Amino acid sequence: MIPLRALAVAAALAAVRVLAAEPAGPAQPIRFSHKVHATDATIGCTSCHVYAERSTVAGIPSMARCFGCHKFVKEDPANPALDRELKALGPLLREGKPIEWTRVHRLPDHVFFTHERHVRSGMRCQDCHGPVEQMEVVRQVAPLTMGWCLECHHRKQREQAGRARLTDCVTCHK
Amino acid sequence: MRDPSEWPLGRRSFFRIVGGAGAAGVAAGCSPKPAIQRIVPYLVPPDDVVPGKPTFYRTACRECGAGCGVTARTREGRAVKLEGNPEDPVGRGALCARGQAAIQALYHPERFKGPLRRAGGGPAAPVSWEEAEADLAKAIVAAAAKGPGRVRMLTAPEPGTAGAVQRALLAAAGARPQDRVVLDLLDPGPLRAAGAALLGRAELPIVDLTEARSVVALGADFLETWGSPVELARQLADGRTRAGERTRLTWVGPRLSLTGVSADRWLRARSGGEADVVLGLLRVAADPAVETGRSKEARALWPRLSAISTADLASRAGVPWGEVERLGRELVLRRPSAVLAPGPQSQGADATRLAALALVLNSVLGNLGRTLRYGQGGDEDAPSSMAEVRALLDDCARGEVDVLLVHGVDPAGLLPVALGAPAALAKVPLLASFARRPDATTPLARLVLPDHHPLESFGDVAPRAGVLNLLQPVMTPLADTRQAIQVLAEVGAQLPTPAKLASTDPYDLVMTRAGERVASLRAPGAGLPADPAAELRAAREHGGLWAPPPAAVAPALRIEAAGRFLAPGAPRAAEGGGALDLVAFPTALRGDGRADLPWLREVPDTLSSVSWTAWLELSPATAQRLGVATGELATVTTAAGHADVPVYVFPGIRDDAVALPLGAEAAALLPATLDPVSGALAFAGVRATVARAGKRARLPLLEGSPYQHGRNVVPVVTRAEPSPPRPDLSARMYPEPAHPEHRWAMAIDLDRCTGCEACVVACFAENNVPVMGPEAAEQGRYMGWIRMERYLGDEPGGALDVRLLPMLCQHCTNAPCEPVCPVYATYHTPEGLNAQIYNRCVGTRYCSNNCPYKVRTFNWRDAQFERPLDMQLNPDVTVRSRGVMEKCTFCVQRIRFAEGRARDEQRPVRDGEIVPACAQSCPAQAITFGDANDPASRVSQVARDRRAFRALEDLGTLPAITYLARVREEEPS
Repeated sequence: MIPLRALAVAAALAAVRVLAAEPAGPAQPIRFSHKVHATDATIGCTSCHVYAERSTVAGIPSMARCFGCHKFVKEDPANPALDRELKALGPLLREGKPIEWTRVHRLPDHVFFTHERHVRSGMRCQDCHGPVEQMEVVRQVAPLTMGWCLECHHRKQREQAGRARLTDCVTCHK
Repeated sequence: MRDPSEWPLGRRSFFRIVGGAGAAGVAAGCSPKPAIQRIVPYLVPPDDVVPGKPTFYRTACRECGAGCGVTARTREGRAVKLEGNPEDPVGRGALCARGQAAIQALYHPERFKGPLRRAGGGPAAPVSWEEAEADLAKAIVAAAAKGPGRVRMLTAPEPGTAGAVQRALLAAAGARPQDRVVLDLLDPGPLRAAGAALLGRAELPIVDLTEARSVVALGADFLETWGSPVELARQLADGRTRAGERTRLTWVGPRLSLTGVSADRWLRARSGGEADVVLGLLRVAADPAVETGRSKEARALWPRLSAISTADLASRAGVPWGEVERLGRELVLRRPSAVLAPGPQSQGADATRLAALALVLNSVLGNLGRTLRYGQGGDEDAPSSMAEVRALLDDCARGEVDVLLVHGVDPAGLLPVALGAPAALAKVPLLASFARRPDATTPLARLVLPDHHPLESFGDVAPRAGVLNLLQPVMTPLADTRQAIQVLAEVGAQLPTPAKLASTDPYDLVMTRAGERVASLRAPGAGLPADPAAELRAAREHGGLWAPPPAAVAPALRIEAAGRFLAPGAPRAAEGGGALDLVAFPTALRGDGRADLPWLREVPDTLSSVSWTAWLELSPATAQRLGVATGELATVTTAAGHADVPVYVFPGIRDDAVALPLGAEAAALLPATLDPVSGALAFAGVRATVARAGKRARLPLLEGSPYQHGRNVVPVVTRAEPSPPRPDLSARMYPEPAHPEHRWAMAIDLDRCTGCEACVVACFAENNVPVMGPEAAEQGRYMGWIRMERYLGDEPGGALDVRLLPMLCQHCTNAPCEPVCPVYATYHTPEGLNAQIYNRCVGTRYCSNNCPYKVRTFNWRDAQFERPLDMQLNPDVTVRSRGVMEKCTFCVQRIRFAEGRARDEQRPVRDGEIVPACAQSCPAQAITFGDANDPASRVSQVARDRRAFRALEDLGTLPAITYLARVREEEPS
């Protein structure tokens, strides 16, 4: 009796989580599409997220960087919906008002993650962030939990001998 | 019901199903669901900022006259840590406790947000800079029209552009040179007066202890506040550990200071007896029986000196003649030496006599030009004497001053109350204060014109010839403050005869002046630089312009002028009532008494272990006689006033003296007595009576027992016994953990360490160590990761034997804290670190209870970092929360940074590449860090020294920290 009931509860909880598993990404102040930029325009990730290879954070592109292209790409008469949004972008950039994005990927304060080390070790951005280049609105794909991090770290450690630091607590917590 | 453990679906399986099904979900994990966070991008990214990476700026320290170079580490446009500038010849990369704490003045929550004006007797109201400057200019014009002396200035020493701008403005306002009064409470002015009388040079010598074989400090605490402490601590330490002969230091005075603790010998001269000690030393040094090849000064002085009775001298000095004679003979044998005096502890009403005798002795011993270098001073802005300050206050009180500009000093709060500064300043119709935050003077000011912090300013400081350290802003100003030299230049431009200044822009002013000095700061014969502008750019990047100093001159002693100082001091009048000699002393943390920054107040004084408050030092015998004990309030009364101060019973003080640190209490007790020759304030020579106040104070005292109780925790070595005893650790019960790649380790040389607390403040700054306040300190809840462990002797009542031991986590190989943690929050890393994982910690405190070194601290409550002090927090280190244990990490963030860089460059980590904050800051360079797995690393070499020992080694914890025992000098033969 008891195990069955426990199983039922577990299944119900699991069902709730599965239903919640594919949320849309959070609403952003403008309809920015990674698909348009990364796939259609074939702009590489680090063209905009410029610090990914050399710092802890990847960096949100500055407004100047947006304007670098959008002073030329400022309208699309063939596509009225897009045209409207592109034209709204112009004044925003000219007035010098930064876009306040909503954060999608967040780690707790006691985790010291560094993009630099991961990118330089040959990981692809998609390994953690998922197929961002196909997303209209970015959503978090990986759980970003410690267990999920360690799956990879343990595997790397099995593959390469002598990488004790990979699973050392103070590598990420200090 | 069956046992739950037999359920087919166990607890772990249950969670696996629940958790596993949610692998693609986002709600997993223990963190609460965060509120929506916004990310605001840069409009235009600054070229020199990479978010997540530090940017470094070179500037200079303005906390005292030493003028050390500073490297400010900034993150995302805000300063987070101050370190020394390794290229600067003064500090050579080190920075003292006060210098490092300057960053807390930058982020002080009470800083003025903009200029204020007080109309009539009302409250100060915000005003625009333009209005405030126009007000000031108008008042200056009106006052100048009345004649000279109506516009005055009281300023801290400004040896650079700031001083030049001040002088230019005052000149434009028709003021005389003497209308600008420079106040530095700790300036050894009598030494300047003695130099003028004896050598014809009214300047302070640059002290260089590199060559000194013996050093005698008479109240000159050169390891704390006197002269250039960072530089002198390094020079002494180098002399201590050089091959062959060890520099010998003697401390003379009624109270053991930190410099005295570093000394090999303490001559317990009574307060005011220092001059007689020097006279005695002079008598020995000039004695033909002691030395045959005497200098001509010695021969000329001997007839007068030989007439002085040694017994008289000894009784007036309060030390046996034998000790004076032995020290005198040592000085004759060990040349060159350095005799340093006076400091506040020995600066009495005859301070010029003490300084003059010390100069004569230095001259007789041939020290002038070698250890005391004249002609190399950067003395561009010599402080005025206290007599001039008093004259200014008197003029203010008589209503003869209409406009008083107060810059960088707090006369109402800092000066002895007996000088009556607040009442005098209240008579000034327009007092303009450039203070950055409220002090005792700002309530009297009609205009408050808040200055930038030095970290927001352009500037320059020339502490001595051949050194020009440049200041530059390391971040955007936090509030609507304005650099004082800009305000003065702008006011100067509004005067009828505008001030003669090239610009009103601080950058232009400073760089113009620095440009003029480029040529003079080049090596002789090097000629003019090809491109002065490029040279200046490089100077700004490196933090200054440095050239070899000009050759020191050895000025000849005017023997005829020396005569009048040779008479023995007047015998002290007998007096009853049990009066004691009052000793007011500065400390490395409190400086001249200004200590109002959280770190400087939280870190306990090395000798008394008291934090947050002033304390009254009484010897055990005197305390017993008066019926007071540590922690009780005592009322001290002098001719000037009285103060209630908690007692700390300290065996390092004479029975006929009572001591307290400089500060508000000392200011209440010091009379306005001046040395008539130099006009310097007489800190010493004050008689005080002490009585029980009948109350207990809540004294924040960190010490447990100040005695070693026969354990010999901190051994010393002597020539006869060059190695401390080490236990036999050959028998091992448990296997040792392996350290395949690195084994990080540290070595601390106790013969170099002076106990200055620079490492402690550096650790607070680097590791976000919280300041918990006086209430927590009273309960012993001090959060510092490193502390100065000090022992006063072996048993209470036994011989005074002060020993210091910087105590931090020992990163034991067999750490007692690790096996007792129930949640695996503390463990031994493969690199030998004893790691503490805050997010695992549940706060059982078992680890702390099992730690024999007591280096783990527990967060009893959430730390408060009052805005904007939180802007100083190091983003590379977690801010711990309540209920979590914390401890030294060997600065693991710096280790990881260096390892990451080495990996990028595909090379092993270099020896010396990783420098923890404590080792970086150490003025005496006592701390070495590195890889113990590498037998060639510096730390391995140092650890093999025969003076090596480990703390509580017999416990078998196998610490990673090796201490090198202090050398105890046998008495010279």
